Amino acid sequence: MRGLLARFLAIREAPAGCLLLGIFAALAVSRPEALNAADLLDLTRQYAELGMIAVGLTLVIGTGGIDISVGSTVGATSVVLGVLATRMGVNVWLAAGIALAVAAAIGAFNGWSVMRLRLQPVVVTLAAMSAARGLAYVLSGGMSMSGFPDTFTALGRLAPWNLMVPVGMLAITAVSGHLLLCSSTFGRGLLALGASEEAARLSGIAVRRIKLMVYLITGLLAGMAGVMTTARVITAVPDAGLGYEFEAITAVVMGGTKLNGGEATVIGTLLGVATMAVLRRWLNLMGATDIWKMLFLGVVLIAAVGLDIFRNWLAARVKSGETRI
Amino acid sequence: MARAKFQKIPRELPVFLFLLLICSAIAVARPIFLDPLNLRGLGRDLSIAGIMAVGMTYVILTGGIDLSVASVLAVSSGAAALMMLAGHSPLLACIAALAVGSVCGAANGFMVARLNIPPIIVTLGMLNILQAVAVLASKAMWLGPLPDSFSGLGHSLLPLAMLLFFILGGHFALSNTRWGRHIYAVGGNEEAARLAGISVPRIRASVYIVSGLAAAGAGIVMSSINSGIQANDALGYELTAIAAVVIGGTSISGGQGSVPGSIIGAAITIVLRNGLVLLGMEARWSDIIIGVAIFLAVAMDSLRRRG
Repeated sequence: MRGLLARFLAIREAPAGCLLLGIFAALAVSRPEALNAADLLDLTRQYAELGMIAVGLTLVIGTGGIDISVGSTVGATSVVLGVLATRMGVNVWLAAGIALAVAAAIGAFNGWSVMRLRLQPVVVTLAAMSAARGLAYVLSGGMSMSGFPDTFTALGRLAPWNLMVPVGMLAITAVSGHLLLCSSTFGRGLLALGASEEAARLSGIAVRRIKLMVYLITGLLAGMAGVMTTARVITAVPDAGLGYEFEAITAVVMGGTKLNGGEATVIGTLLGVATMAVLRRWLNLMGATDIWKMLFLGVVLIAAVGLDIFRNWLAARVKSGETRI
Repeated sequence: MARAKFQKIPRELPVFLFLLLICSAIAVARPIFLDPLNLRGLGRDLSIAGIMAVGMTYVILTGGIDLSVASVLAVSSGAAALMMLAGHSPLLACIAALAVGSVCGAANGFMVARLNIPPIIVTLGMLNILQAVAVLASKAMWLGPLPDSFSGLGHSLLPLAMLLFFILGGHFALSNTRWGRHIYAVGGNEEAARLAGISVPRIRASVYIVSGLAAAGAGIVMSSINSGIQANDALGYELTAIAAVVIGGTSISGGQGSVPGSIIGAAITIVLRNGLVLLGMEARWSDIIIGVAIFLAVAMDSLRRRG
């Protein structure tokens, strides 16, 4: 029995998996009509962007860092794309490329500050969050922009079921994120760095390069999410991605990635994002207003981290044989 | 020798000179900056931001962070406004606001210090929870107008008196009490503080209570100035408070910094924002400038530490 419990506790993804099943069950019982394919596919389409950001954030949190600028990066990307393509008449694909470069620059700035200046990730990305959101407002003049060519907006509604691009991108991101984390020297170095920076450095791991890369990757993924959001809602808005950092961090820690670094799981993060998606859907169906959702998600964030701390504590006790079952 | 001399210069001096520099630059470009009406507005803004910055200084000195201050402000001053509108005396309502603020802070402190949940997660969660509570309790309405006996205070010297109270009290407690020295000790080296017999969890919890109290104090000032309060009035103020503290020279990793520095930092953010408006620029430029200012402040701090 103890062996079973210990083995269960050792699976990082277990709490998120159980939570997801639980919410699905609640949804099936309270609103069975909601479990139809069309709704679930639409939900997937909406949450693919958050999923990509969360995969990037998993790598950052794996190193013991954090990036709260992702939501603002989505907004800045969307606005740069919108201003170039709809107001200045630049070719939309070129505009998307430039927007992605801006997002990568924001990520590179974060990474460089953390790596080179050894600044605290929270503050650096807080500064970037403020500046990038300000940039989005100043460039757009606070207005939303539409009038993208059809070839671009088609990205958001490519067959089958409008899912082609968002889900394709999420799948590519998730698979490469998982392989990078679990089966590459880079990934092993990343987790070693998260567990103990000093030990990682002394064992010859390129600590600085890893730090730069994880923030760069996350910035780029947030940029792609920004482009995809713009295509999906066919408008560029300075408010795009507002609060994404909050949802992405919740998904990552709910999925079992340790906030202090050293342990990370992309599969858990995907389960976390799915949980967030189904949870929101369920709250919508129950008629909860945005305010109730805000309240609920705040509790979920704290509870997810609290649960992880409790799980580690319990696992340690089970291992040392202090808890009798 | 030269080095020792350099280190004797107070950390606050360069920031103070920078404040004087931008004040004179704006005053030269737009003389209306020195107009009594404008200065009075600056004083009100400074009293709100400054009070919050005093609380944030305590939290950041221990190496923590409090993102929930704007929501604590909304909940506590919302509670006070509801009491006043129900006919209770303003004094009672203000005491209630301070009580609500410290209870919110105590909740933050408990989760950070006792449950060991990282401060950024706790206060990010509380930011959402308390904001929602404030909106629900006020039914998303503006709570006002408040009784004249209270809102008249906002146009008297109350805001500045309150600010002065928080500055003096905050500074005195940090530099002249055992508790204050323990806060520096915990922020400087937690392990050493623990081994020296300091109750680290108690110190770490206490700073969030100070931050909650300060947020409530700022809320009282704000609602007396506006003769009312709406749940989203203070949205984004956590950023101003954090910016003020780091610009004022408090080290984000804890252990170093001071209340006067944070007040100078708060004055810089307020003056910059005012200057942008006077120069006729898009108000959102302030987000960019504050982002850049936070970055420069922490970068300079990091370079100074490595010397």
